[in-house]
Amino acid sequence: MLAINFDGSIYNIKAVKKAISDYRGLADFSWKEKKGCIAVGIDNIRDKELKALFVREFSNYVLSLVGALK
Amino acid sequence: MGKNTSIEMKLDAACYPKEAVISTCCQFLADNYVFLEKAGSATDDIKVTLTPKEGAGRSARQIKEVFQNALVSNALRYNVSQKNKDLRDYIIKSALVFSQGSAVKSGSALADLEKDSKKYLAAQGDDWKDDPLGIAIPWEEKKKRPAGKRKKC
Repeated sequence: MLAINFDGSIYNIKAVKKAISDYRGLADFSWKEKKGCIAVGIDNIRDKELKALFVREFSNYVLSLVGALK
Repeated sequence: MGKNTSIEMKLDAACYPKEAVISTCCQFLADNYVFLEKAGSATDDIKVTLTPKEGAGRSARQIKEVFQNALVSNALRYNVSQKNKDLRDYIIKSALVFSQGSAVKSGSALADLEKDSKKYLAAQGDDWKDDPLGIAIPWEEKKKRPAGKRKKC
């Protein structure tokens, strides 16, 4: 399973939840808040070729939502 | 520095507000992978990691330079917008109140606006009355020649 820790003071939970909702068709997601961080777990990425880029693309998408939803 | 090398930058929170950093990063999402994290547990400084995407035209070094320029620009915009927030709110509020027609003008909206404007002007002080560059002096007074020195045609 791949994991990303988003800092809670920079990223917001609303953006993370929206990104998970938009990406849910591409992989299985889980998330929880811990110690000021939003930990996202990613599993079963459907497109194996995208696996290497998936985490980075997902992080980019979350950041774009943070900018848009602020 | 290779074309797809990641670049890390630690940004001082005192110089670069979080909002300015996020706006700048959003401008670079199309050509780069961007990730933000705290630079340390006891600090508000932000660490930015930029990784150019495959086929990005610029090298990591060029991207860093452009990023830093954009960051300074966004920080300035943010600071100016914070400074002018009250004035901006006042202008928008007054525009909205007066566009609602005369029926509303006599109501509480106008009274609120007048109260806000008095509060704003009181907060600004009398600085606006100063004229250090002499802009308010009429042209005739400024360019007045002493008597008897009239130019002959």
